[in-house]
Formats: sequence, C-alpha cells, structure tokens
Amino acid sequence: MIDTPKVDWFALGPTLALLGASGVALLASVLVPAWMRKGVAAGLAFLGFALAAILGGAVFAETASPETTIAGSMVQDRLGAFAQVVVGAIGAIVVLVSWAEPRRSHRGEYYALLAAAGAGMVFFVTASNLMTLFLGLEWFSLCLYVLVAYDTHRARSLEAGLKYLIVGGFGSAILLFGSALVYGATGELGFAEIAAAGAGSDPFLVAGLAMVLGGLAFKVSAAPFHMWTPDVYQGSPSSVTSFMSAATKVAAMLVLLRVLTTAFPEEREIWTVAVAVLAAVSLVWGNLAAFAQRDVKRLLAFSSVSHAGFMLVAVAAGTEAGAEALLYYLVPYAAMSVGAFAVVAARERELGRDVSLEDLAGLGWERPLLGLSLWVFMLGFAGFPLTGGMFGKLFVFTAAYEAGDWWLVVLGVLATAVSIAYYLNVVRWLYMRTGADLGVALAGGSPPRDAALEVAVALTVLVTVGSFFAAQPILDAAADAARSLPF
Amino acid sequence: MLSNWLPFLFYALFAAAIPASMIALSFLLPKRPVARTRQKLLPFESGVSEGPPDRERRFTISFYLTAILFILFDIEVVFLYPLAVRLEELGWFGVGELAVFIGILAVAFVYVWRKGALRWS
Amino acid sequence: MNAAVTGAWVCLLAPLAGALAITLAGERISRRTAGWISTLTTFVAFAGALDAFIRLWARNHGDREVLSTAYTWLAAGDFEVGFQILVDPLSTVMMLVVSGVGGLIVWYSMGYMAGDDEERRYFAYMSLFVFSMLLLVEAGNFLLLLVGWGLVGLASYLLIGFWHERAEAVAAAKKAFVVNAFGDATFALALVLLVWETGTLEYPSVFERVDGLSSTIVTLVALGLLGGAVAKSAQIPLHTWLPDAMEGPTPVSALIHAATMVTAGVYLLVRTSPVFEAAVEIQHLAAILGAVTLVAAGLIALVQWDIKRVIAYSTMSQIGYMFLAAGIGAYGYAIFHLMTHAFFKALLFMSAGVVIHHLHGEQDIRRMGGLRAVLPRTHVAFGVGTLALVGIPPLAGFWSKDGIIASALATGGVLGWSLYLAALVGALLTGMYALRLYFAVWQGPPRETEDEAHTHASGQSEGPLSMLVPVGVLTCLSTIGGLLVVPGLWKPFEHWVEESAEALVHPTVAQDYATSVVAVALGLVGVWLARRAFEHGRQLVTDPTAWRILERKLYVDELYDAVFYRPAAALAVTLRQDVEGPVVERSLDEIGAGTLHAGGELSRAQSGLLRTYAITVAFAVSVLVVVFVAVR
Repeated sequence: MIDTPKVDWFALGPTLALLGASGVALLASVLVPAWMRKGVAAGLAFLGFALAAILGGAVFAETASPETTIAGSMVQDRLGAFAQVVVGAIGAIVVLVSWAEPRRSHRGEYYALLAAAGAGMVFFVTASNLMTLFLGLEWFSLCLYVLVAYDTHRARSLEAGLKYLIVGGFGSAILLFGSALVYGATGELGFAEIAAAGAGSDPFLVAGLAMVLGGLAFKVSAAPFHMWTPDVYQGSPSSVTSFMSAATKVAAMLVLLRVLTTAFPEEREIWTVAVAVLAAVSLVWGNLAAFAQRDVKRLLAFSSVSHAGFMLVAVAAGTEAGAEALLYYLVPYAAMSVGAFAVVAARERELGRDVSLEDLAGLGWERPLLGLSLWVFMLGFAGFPLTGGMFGKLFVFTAAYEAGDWWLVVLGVLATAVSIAYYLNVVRWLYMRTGADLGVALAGGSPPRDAALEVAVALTVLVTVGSFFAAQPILDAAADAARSLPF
Repeated sequence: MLSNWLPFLFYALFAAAIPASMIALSFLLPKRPVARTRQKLLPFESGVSEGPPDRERRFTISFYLTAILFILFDIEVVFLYPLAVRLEELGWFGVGELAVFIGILAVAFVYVWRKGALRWS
Repeated sequence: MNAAVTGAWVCLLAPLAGALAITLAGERISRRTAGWISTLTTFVAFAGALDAFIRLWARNHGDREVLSTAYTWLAAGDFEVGFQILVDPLSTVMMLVVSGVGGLIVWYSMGYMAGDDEERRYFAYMSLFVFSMLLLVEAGNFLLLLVGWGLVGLASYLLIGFWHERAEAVAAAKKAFVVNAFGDATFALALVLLVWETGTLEYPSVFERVDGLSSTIVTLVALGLLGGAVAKSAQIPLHTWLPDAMEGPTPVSALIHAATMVTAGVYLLVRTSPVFEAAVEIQHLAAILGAVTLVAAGLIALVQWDIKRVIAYSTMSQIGYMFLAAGIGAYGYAIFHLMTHAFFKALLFMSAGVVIHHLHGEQDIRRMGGLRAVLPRTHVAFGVGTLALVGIPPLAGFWSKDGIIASALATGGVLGWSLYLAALVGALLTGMYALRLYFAVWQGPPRETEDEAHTHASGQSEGPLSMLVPVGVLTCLSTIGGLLVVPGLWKPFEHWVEESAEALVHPTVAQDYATSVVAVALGLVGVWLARRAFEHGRQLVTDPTAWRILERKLYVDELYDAVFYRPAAALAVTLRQDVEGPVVERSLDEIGAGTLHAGGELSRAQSGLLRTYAITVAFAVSVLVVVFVAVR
C-alpha cells in the first residue's frame, strides 16, 4: 500500500480558486456567445483573484504556526498567506486595468492566462521544496511569456515575448541547475531538510546556493540580472506590465527570502553579503539608468530595478526586522507600481503609441484624477511623507542599520535623493504644458471615460496613502508573517 | 567524498566540450571563401537562403498545429500509465487524482476543439 | 483634552481644512471666495495659536510642556510613535509667527494674485503650505517632524513652480526640491540612527537618552540634522536654490523665503539643541556655517540687479545670524531674530511686491528709481523694513541682531571672537546692500518711460486695500516688535523661549550696549558708503574681477554642476548609449538585418542582443558561484 499524502484543500484554496477561475474562463472564451466572452472571462478572473485574496486572508487568520502539507511539498504559513492576499489584490486590480485594453481577438483568453499566472504565483509562494519551487516558477512564467507577447500586432510586444522567453528560460535553467547541485550535496529537496542536512560548506551546496540566488535574482529583476526588464516592461501590454512589476516582484521576493532563510541558514554570512552586493548594484544601476530614459515605461522599469535594490537591502539584513520591512515595503510598492503603469496604459490608449515623457505633457490638466494619482505614485516611489513609500524606506533602512549594513543605508539614502530628480521629472511633464501646446493630438478626440481603470487607479492611490496612515495594521501583519520564518 | 562527484565532473566536461567543439570546428574547418561574393557570405540554413528570416511570411499552420497538439496530449496521456499500474494500491485517492488530471486536460481539449484548431482547412 | 492643546489642534487643522475645502469645491466657488477661505482659515489658525499661547502663559513656570496624542501610529514593543503635537513655549512662538505672518501674506496675496487664472490652485497650495509648516513646528516627535519637513518641501515646490508655463520657474522649483531632498535624506539618516540607538522618537525621551549614546553616534545624528537644517535654511553650502526660487510669485517669496520655511532650519537647531549640545563640534559647525553665509550672502547681495534676489540674499545673510546664534547656544536670540526677521523681511518682500505690481512685473532695479513720489506709503514701509534690517534703533532688527552679536562676544575664545568679527562685518555689509537697494529703487530721478509713469500717476497706484493693510500691520510690527527684549530692562521673550531651550550664553548688559554702539556705527558706515556710491553714480563693488566672482555666486553652482550633476548625467548617458543602446535597444529585426552584413559587422550587430543578456547573466552567476565557493 502506497502512503497517499493528505491533501490540505484549505491551504490549496487560493491556488484552486484561481486555477478554477482560469479554467472556466478558458472554457467561457469559446463556449459563451462572442459578445459576452470578455465580460464573463474578466468577471471570472476578478472573482478568482478576489477569492484567492479572501482565502489567503482566511489562511492567514487560521494559521498560527507554519506547517508543511502534501508530503512536505508546500507549507501553510502566514508568510505565504500574506503574499497570496497581496497577489490576489494586485490581480483583481489588474483585471480592472485591463478591461478597456483595445484588443481585437482572444479577449477572453487573456483573463484566463492572467488568472493562471496568478494561480502559479500563489502556489509559488507556498513552495517548501525545490521541486515545487521550480514548478511554481515555471507555471507563472509560462503564462507570462504568452501574456508579454499578447499584442501580436505590435512588433515590440513580440520582441519582448521572445526575449523574455529565452532569457527567462536561461534564468530558470540556472535555478534548476542550482537546485540539482543542492540536492546532490544534501540528498534533500525540502527547505528545512536541506538546512538540517548540515552539509556545511560543501562546495556544491554553496555553488547551488549561488545559482538558486542568481535564478531568483533574475525574477526579481535585481541588477545585473535585470537586463530583460526594461525591454519586457516596455514591450508588454501595459496592463501585463503592471501585473508583472507588482505581482512577480512580490512573489519572487518572498520566495527568495523564504529559500535563503529556511534552506540556507548556515550560509547566512555568505548570502547576506551577496544579497547586499546585488542590492547595491541594483540601487546604483537602476537609478542612474532611469535618469537617461525618455520612455515612461522604461523609466518605470529601471525604477523597479532600483526598488528591487531597496527590497534586497531588507533581505540582506537577514533578520526578522528585515523580513518585516520587506513585507511592509511590498504593499505600497505593489500599489504604486500597478497604479503608475495603469496611468501609462490610459495614456497609451489615448495616443495609440508608446508613451514618452513628452507625451505626458498636459495629462495633469486633461485627466486630473490620473495626473494627481501619478503624482502620488511618483512621490511614493521617492519615499515621500503621506505615502507608504516613506515608511517602507524607513523600515528598510532601520533594519539594515540594525544588521550593521550602514553603508547600504547611506547608499540607499543617496539613491533616494537621486531618484527624486527623475520622479519629479515625470511630474514636471504632467503639468508643464497643455497637450495643445505641444500638438499632442489625442487619437480620435477625447476617448470615452474608462471607469474601470479609474476605479483601479483610485484603489491603488488609496492603498498608497492608506499604508501611510494605517501603517500599524500592515506592519502587524508583516510581523506575524515574518514570524513564520526561522530566524 | 569528492570522488563521488567524478561522474558529475565528466558530465560537466562533456557538456562544455560539445558546444565548444562545435564553435571551434566551425572556425577551424571551413575555408574562408577566397572570392567574397555575396552569395558565399550568406548564412546557409536548411536550404533556405533567401535573405533574412521573414516574420511576416505565412506557411500552412495546420501541420504545425496538429503536430504540436498531438505531442502535448500524447505526452500528457503517458502520465496515465504509471497511475494505471498503481491504481489498485492508490485506491480512491488515485481515482480522484486521475479525474483532476483528466479534467484539466479536458478543459484544454474543449478549448482547442472549439477554437477550431483541429479542423483541417 | 487639555485646554491649551485644543487651540493648538485648531491651529494645525484649520489651514488643512481650508486647503481641502478649496480643492474639493473646485470651480463651484469664485476665485475670491477661495482667497477668503484661505485667509480666514489661516487667521483661525492664528486665533488657535493665540489661545494656546495665552493658556500656556497662564500655567506655572516649568509646567509649560504639553504633549497631546491624537492616535497611536506605530507601536512595536516599547517603541511607540503617535500622531502627537507638542505645545511648549518654543512651538507656540513659532505657531504665532507662522500663522500670524502667514495670514497677513495670504491676505496680501488676494490683491497681488487677483486676476491670475489659477488663483484657486494658488490658495489651495498656500493653505497646504501653512498647514505643513505648522505641522513641522508643532510635531511632537521626530517622525512627524520629518513628515512636516517633507511636506513643507513639497508645498514650496508647488508654490515656486506655480507659474508652470515659465520654464525657469519649473527649473527653480525642481532645484529647490532636489537640494532640499538632500537635506531630507541626511535628516532621515539621522532619524534612523536615532530610532535604533535610543529606541524612541519622542522629543523628551530622545533628549533624555542622548547622553547615554556614544559620541560618534551623537555626532552623526547632529550632522544629519544639521544637513537638513542647512538645506532648508539655504545656508552655505546648500544655499543655491534660494535665489532661483525667486521665480515664484512675490507673496510666496515673502511666505516661504522670508518668514517661515527658510527659518525651519533654525527652529530645528533650537528644538534639538540637546542633541547638538552633546555634539558640540557640530553645533559650532552650525555657527561657523552661519557666519560664513552671512558674510558671503551679504557680499553677493551687493552685485545683484533683481530686487527680489537682493532681498533673497539678505534673507540668507540674516538666517546666517540665526544659525550663528543657535550654534553658540543663544537660543532665545535666535528665535527672537527669527521673529523680527519674519516681520521686516515679509514687509520688504511685500513692499517690493507692490513695486513689482506697480511696474507690471519689472524686477530689475536698473529700471527703477524715483518711485518715492509715486508710491509714498510703500516708500515708508520699505524704508522702515530697510532700517529694521540694518539694525537701526529702535526698530525690530536692532534688538534681535545686537543680541546675537553680543552673545558671540560673550562666548569668547577664538571661536567667539571670529564669529563676533564676522557678525560685525555682516552688519556693515547689511547697511551697504540694503541702502544700495533702497536708493536704487526709491531715490533719484524716475526711470520709467513717460507714458508708463503717466498711467500710474493717475488711478490707484499702490494696490488694493488687501495689499496695503497687511503691509501697514507689518510696518507697525517691524517698528515695535523688537521691544520685547530690551537689555538691562526686561527680556520676557528670551525667558519664554528659554523654558524650551536653556541658553548657553548670556551677554552682560555692558557687552550688549557696547556691541550695539559698534554694530550700529558699522551699519551707519554701510549706509554712508551706499549713499556716497549712489551720489557718485557708481557701484559699491568696483573691481571687475570681484564683481564677476560675486555675480557668479562664488561659483558654487558651477562647482556642483561639475562635481555632481555632470558626472552623474554623463554616467547615465553613457549607460544608455554604450551599454543599453547597443545591448538592449536593438530590435530583433536588426539581428535579421545583421545577417546580411559580412564579417566584422555581423559579429558586432549580433553581439547586441539576447546573447549579451545571457552572457551577462552567466557571468554574474559564475562570479557568484566562484566567490561563494571561494569564501565558504
């Protein structure tokens, strides 16, 4: 008799919700009448994401201490649940952002893929062995490869899809190679078991660790593994970019944190330094490169690289305070990121082409809500008071200082000061001139109001600002989540 | 301890040597054409040598589509063999897993069917 | 809730309510109504401040420090930060100055900005600014202080760049923001250090625990705070934004660049004096920076042609005095000078505004002159402001500035004497540049063209009542505001502030009066020099080299440009052109195109893309692996 693993349906809930939504949406996009396919599929995806967030919340509430389930392949804990709530919320908002995307065909399948990618992510964050880790990673990556290249009539989108696929495959291969080395050195796949195997400083274990780190650094787009980021962010449909920039980063950051702390606690001295170096490179490279960008999506892509740097500063602390800071940071960051790309998406739909800084001119006057929101996001990215970005940076720096990485604090503060210049540049363009002055003709006159997108942007502003005033509840949740890691 | 890793070392060496030899040989073997005409400098690729690959060019998708769908479903169905061998021991749990697996495949199949990907025209 | 605190909360929230009301009402209210909402809410804030002040006054000596928490913001273990305000003698003085002078300036704006297309936006920004500034001075802990500090920077960015169609205004706004962001950054660093080392952010507990910290930490914290103060108060070496910021509307200059925002640095130095006293070198550094600034800014002011820039440099110079005072521990005088300076500098800016308004936006003093006949009342106001600035008794500036100079004398030692000399040189320079400006604008023959003068002579020339009344009020305050401290007689103001920050030096009455004689004499020498130069029709600085150096503001802008901006920009552009461009931006089509090219070009075109990505990743991973294995 084979021992069958106990399947914990409750812990799988968020994943199943999204997987179900994805499947039904896929069927709906061929079975229901053409005119309501998009509506049904989008509704299903929205429900799936919302349900995933709610179920994630339930898991968070019900799980006092972490426990592994399904034969040790996944772990049910508050860290994963926290990420599930965040990813679920991001996905639901992205559905709203995507709603008015002009698209001639395959309108239902888009939402099915989005939900499938979300399912992969909420599964990925609960991975507790190297096998499920890789499975989750590939699961959402494959969906994203397709989504990135979704606008087949745009050469840039196809190009981005191909680049992401090839380089992404390369990153996955590195991760897989690393996992194989770790397995070879310890004979174990589970994170906790790897730590318990006590392989010490086996050269293959640390080589594997280096590769796992590299593979995940690729997904969080930390420099110098970020090369794909600007291209892919620019080429993808903006709604997909907003999803990737927020959800992928949240999921991959959390898993990076989880793997490093649970599987490699013995090697802490090595990986904290390595992560610190990655953080420093990301901060410098991301901020400097963002300076020279004219295209708004590229600028935001490099800003995302620099934010990966800030998050890695928290990871590099290698302490519970660092984990807390990271988890808090992700909340306003995700909101700002989704929101900023949503505003760019709105402008893109108006103009019918890629948005450069010049194209933003006058947006602040024509669309006060979007203009003001982009303002808020830029200030939030820069870590300004009245946005959660400020506390995020403050917590990260405090954690880094506490861990003795004072040089990272100095570098981070300098990077922040530098970043203000290019974030303000965006704002400057928003209000500097009216569209008429520059002759930026709106494609086909003033487009209809996009209520779904405006709701999405308003929600993200709410979270950005709300995470400042109500920092405590988020911080409490982050602390609870961080406690499920063995520090 | 390290000797356990000897096979791995060989494997790594082979893995590195094969592509390296390919690159090296492609430099060593062919003579550079003496007369550098345009035709001689074009890359040769499976008999197709008319300029760069053309993104826009169409070819009959039916072959490709049917083939790839076959491979997808074929390989996935192969997973049923081990399950079938052990189904007795797995009991209802196995049946459940089987149903889930088939269900997911079915969704994809319905989609492909309805999308008309199986129609040869 | 404690009664003294209610007024303070009203004071804080009234301008916020005003800003929100104007924003939300949008087009439904007239521009004039927006102006009134802004003015009245600011005066309500003043009333609240007055209430808080009186109630605090009624309390016993030594019991005048009330911390009020609206709600607890962050709490982790024994670390707790709330949304809390501190009402004590220092903050009430600042509240009165900010809301009082601020209210007058907002009122004045109603006349000055009348007819501007976007008055509503303007008044919303003004209210936001007043709120931020009040938050800054009322904050009960360092975190809230940082919030106010940042918001003040934001509001000033909005106001300086208010005329967004003017590229210079937008550039100036950005420059102000970026320079201030540097200060914010050092401030935030200091904050992180403080949180970790003391485990708290509340003023009283931080100050209690400062003594227990290592001297390195205290020095770093003080340095960080000083960085913030120096940037916000436009002291050397972070002063470059202030003159450019004159691109904003004149009332904005009066509000931000004279009365309130730029003095925030002084407030910070006084508020956190226990930290600075524990790191005395840094405190002295503040004094030295102040002294350097007051002399350098005074010199630069001698060669400026823009009426507002002269006043701006004068502001830098006067704040230099305040830094000097705060740096040697004469906190009472620092705040006292802050207050009198708010009176007479706002007055100067506002009367300059009347002049600019009258001349339809002309700001170049070479095209002014002889306005005494046209604008008699403004002339008096400007004259009072000028004399108060020079420090002629019994006007406001005399009492406060001489107190500072005497305190430098009382400090003694090499430092004290150097500061004393610098302050005296500053007094001489003040007399020179202030009177140079006065003569150029008001005396001599009229330089307007005939028809211009004509249109102005008839009709109402000095602006509407809403401009004249605030100017009149400030004229009175500049005249008598200094009598709150008369050495040897009474010093209620100084004693009041010193309840919050005990002064380190107390000049004797003899030192006070001796200094007064010297300083006033020097000021008069300056006046005399300016008058002689004016009569002979020449400038005060005649050497062309010196003129050029001063005109380029001692080349600090150029220095920053060369040291920070250009390398960063060059690096960014290099990254884009040499790394990103060839590596990333080539599209896939080019790979295809590349295959057509022969030989070397082919390899170069192909080196662009995916392969480079892959190689970079592979290289980075290899480095990681090698390093990991090596150091394990």
